[in-house]
Amino acid sequence: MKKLILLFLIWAFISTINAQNTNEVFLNLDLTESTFSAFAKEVEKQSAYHVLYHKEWTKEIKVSITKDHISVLEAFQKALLSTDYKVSIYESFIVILPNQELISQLPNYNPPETEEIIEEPTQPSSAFMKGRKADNIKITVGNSKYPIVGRKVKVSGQVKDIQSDHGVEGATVYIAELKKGGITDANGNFEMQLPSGKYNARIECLGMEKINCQIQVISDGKFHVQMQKANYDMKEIVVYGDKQMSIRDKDPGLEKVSVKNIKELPMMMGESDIIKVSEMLPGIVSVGEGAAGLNVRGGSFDQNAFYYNNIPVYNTSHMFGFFPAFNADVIKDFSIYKGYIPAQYGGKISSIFDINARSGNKKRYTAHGGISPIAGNLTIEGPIKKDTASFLISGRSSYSDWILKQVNDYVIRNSKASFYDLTASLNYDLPKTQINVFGYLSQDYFKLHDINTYWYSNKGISANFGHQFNSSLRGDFSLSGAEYQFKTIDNQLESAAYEHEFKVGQYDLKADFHKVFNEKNSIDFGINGIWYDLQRGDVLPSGQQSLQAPVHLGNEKGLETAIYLSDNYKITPLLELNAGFRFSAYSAFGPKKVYTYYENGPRDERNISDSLSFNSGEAIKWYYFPEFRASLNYQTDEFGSIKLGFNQMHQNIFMLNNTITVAPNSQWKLSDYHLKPSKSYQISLGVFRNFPKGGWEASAEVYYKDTKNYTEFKDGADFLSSPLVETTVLQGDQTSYGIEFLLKRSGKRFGGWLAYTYSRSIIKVDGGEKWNQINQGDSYPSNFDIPHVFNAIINYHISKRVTFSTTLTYQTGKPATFPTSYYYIEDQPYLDYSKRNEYRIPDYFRTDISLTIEGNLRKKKLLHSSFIFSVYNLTSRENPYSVYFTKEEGSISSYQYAVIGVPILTATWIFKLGNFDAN
Amino acid sequence: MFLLTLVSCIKAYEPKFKDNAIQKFVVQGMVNNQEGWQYVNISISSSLTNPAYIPIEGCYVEIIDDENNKFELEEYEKGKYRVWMSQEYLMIGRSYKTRITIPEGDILESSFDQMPAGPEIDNVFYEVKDLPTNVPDEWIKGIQYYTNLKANDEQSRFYRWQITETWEYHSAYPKEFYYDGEINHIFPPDYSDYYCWTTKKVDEIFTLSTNGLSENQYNRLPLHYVKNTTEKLSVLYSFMLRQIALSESAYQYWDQLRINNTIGQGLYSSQPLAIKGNISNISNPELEILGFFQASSETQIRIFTPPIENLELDFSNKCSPAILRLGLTEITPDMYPGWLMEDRGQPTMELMNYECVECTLRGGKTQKPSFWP
Repeated sequence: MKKLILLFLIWAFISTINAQNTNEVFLNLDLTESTFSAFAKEVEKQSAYHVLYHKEWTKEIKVSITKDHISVLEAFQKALLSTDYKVSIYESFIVILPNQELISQLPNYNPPETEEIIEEPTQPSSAFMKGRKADNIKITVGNSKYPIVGRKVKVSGQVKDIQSDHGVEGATVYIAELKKGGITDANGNFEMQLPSGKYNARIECLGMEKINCQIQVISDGKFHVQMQKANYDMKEIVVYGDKQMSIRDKDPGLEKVSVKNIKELPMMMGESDIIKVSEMLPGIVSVGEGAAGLNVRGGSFDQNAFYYNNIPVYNTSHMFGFFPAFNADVIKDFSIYKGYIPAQYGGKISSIFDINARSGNKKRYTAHGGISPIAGNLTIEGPIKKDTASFLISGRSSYSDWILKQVNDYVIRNSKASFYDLTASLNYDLPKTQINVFGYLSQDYFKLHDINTYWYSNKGISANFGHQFNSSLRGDFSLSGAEYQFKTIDNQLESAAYEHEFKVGQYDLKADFHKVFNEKNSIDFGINGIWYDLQRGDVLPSGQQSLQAPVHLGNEKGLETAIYLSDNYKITPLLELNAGFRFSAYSAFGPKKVYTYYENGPRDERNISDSLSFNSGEAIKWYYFPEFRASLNYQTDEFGSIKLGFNQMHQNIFMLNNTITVAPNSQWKLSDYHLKPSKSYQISLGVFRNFPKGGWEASAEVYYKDTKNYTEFKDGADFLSSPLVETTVLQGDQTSYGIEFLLKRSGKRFGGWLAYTYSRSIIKVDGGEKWNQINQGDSYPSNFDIPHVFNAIINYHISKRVTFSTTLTYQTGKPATFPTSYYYIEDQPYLDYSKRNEYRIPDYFRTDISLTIEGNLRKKKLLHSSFIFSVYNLTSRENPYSVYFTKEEGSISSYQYAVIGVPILTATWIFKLGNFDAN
Repeated sequence: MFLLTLVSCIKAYEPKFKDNAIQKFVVQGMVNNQEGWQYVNISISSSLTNPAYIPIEGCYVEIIDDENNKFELEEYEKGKYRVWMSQEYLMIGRSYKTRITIPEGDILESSFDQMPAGPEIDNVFYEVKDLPTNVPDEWIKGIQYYTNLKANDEQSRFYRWQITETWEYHSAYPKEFYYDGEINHIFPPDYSDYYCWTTKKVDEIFTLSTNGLSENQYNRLPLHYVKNTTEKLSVLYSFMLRQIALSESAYQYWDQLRINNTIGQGLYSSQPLAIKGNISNISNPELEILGFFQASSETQIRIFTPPIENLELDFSNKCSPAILRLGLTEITPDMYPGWLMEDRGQPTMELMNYECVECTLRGGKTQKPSFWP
């Protein structure tokens, strides 16, 4: 079977390469003595091409072609064989010219001049779109009756996608004469200060057709521009935004990923996964298959904040990390802050994953979905009020756990697994106000034969409101509530069988403001508050036979509040400073009974000295954190920049975990009277350079991060036997540092990226006495200390409709504790083990491939289909997840355990209403 | 936690170990509540490449109780030391420690361990139980032993069970006809190598803490499993079950040893630990000592299990006679004596391998244990 798949892929690859030499689009023609215009119409019907010709020239031509699978170019060459006319293909146009081929570009189209602000057309019209290709769109800003002289004029505007009517983020508006420009924000808005006058402006955004226009600036005002999607780079791996973006605006350690990145990678079980895409970026690792969550710059999983349209998400995976909890169909883009973190974010030490969902289509109703071997998904969206309000509902569900039945393991064969998630979004956009209500629900169920049952669920809702108060002040307000809960039933031992239910609630309120003073100076300020409500649950006996004594783990409440102010200041045209200050305060709240311990011994139930009682609503202990954030961006030349970042972070909630990777029943815990919030600082320095000719972009970043009060479990910690967490954990230092390289190519047929990271993550817990040390007080590598990581993504766009992708991942094996010697107790051999994580399991290596085939490119059709074939772990390498040692018949044997040791082939069908470009 | 997921696989792995392991002293000792020999064993750990029991001879070993009574131990075997303690010194609630002076002069000393009380063994029983395998519809057959614990609140909440199993098995045939140039007939047939007994410690560790339970009781604690693919259940199977009541720290030591032997095989397992015992090196505190000195109270019970009616055995007695096609000349002098099969009082032309008539070749001894019925 394995060979067959490979053969098929090779065949597909070779045959499509051959195909693209002649042309990508093929036609089936059956014409006899047909007119040229009928022939042209047929071509337009079967392809996305538009044929441009002069009727006078072609009226004599008769076309007779009867052939299946003829390329467009060949068809025209055949039709024009005995004439003097030549055919040329330019973008989506076929141009017929007498005696010559098209040399450079289309003849200009001159739209009528406009005196006032251009009103955006409500319907996409082809004439309008074609007009945008020309160089002389003229826009007048302001009122000619009240011209402004002597001061700069404030020009604002919005760039929109003509089809979806959404703002285009990251588009550059570049004024050639002044060599300056602006970049649009998440809603497509931009702002510039210009002296009045006439300018040539270029508006660009990757994935969109470029717009050149003339702007006449008279007085303060605004204008709208609509961009059209560029068909030719529909399938492109690109870190979102314009090529220049990483030079000018990218903060050190900021990664922006568009949904295209996500959808193109080879998928395990056919599900696109934003988490998996992140893991291909430098500085972000996962410690193996089945490891839910990821580690950013040497930090633990619980140091990452995931916000899904402002809803905090505590568990980011379905089925133990094999599937993403986020439906890629609904995601617009996401940003990962891992270096410099702007002052508006806080509460987690390592990173912020800010995931933005799309809003529904405001023009028309549409639906799309997909079916993979495990799950199916469907998204329905459309306008509630045309151009203003829209909805989007998306659902995904596993429909079969057949794969479990295929496994050669009795327990797994008799297990059950299922998951689903739902997303709903309502958007209401007015010129100055945007309102979004967003809801998310995900649920997982796994029953491991009659041994264990796991159930977990994320749910949340957010209401987001944005308002432009005036041309220089914008406010964004958000109210959200989220709950994560799980339930475990453990029936491994009949007499000690138990069940445990856990719940954490997080309720966020925030207000963010952006104020522009002038083109050099703008500030961000705001406040936010988070209320945590943890119900750690009860450990209760499960079943009639269980003698498990109930343990009440208790409830916890905490309040985190913060205010911040940050200033963005252009010191010189090439030097930009972002400096921010965030002040936050945190306390756990009663009702709570807190025990105190004698200081000269371990925190242990036997060492309790006293107890303190806190009433409901009473603060237990306040912690205050002033945090400084700064980034300095120096542009060395047009194509290069150097960036320096510094930030201080802290964290009030952490995860209780004593297993190799994060388990679905890992509890969360708030900082309290005994356990201090963790705090850290990070310094990062990055060098960025573009090589626009080949579409290359390169960056190198170094960082150093130091965390205090990092919470680590003691040897043999059990988080279910006692509510007193302070008796099972200690706090220490975590240090990480590394260097990250990224080389990326985009906008080309052959693209992708190479990322290499060298990094370390070291923990040291040494309170000075044996009882408050871990690993005898010596430093040791964390479970996610992965020094060398190399990732490659290569995409090859074989044709408009066929893309081949491959990914390659190498990483050093994760740290492990290994035996060091034998010894005998009662005549039986036992192993003495090394210090924590002194060894490493074998290195990890994996290659995946995928082939994406789009359905035909006809413009008018009911349904567009695409098929994705992918192979996960092509080389069938058995990447060890763990190495373990076990005693058999008096001697000790060592084994490695691999979660996946075979290639996994999946085929996925994706459909959407309308043509392939429809959204 | 999870044994396996999806398309997982397990295979043998030979790690490259660092060759920097320090040899550590290993002390294992025990005082129990029964009048008799109390033992302390002293050895050093060995490298992974050459596992060996390396005893330390010539130590000066004492057991000291919390009333400062001292008992000097004698070395009765290399590295093994013992002392006879009478009942008056073995009291529940009293604490004991050991102090050792090794020939090089280092003094090793344990912390005090308090002797807890424990109940009699409540009940031991078995059930015929099939275990699944990775091949559909293929099962391992055998019997699973269980025990119940019924302790009261005065007694320890921490226990360990230790099992030493003994079974009788038989050769396929007694010795009767043999060829050593000529056919000899032993009559009556010689049964001296026919009956064998094997005694072995079960290498699993069984521990229990009732600390998280509502009562100091436990039902159906799984002990060991005996497969039908061994000869153990063919004639008579027996085991000695020792129920050892422990202090909490001794329990933690044994339980961690148990966990280290069983973890690592699934998705959410934890890592093994370097286990800390209660013994330290007074002379060189930075040198770690392996092992534990415990004070415990112990009860034991012997269980006999005759062949089980509804369990079909499927084991090999390793006897595979060969037909002598060319007659007795096939038996060359280096094969003498060649044991021949018997049929109705006459030798046949079938040569038996030695395993057919000498049960000791299958690992046991011909001496009947004193406790055997």
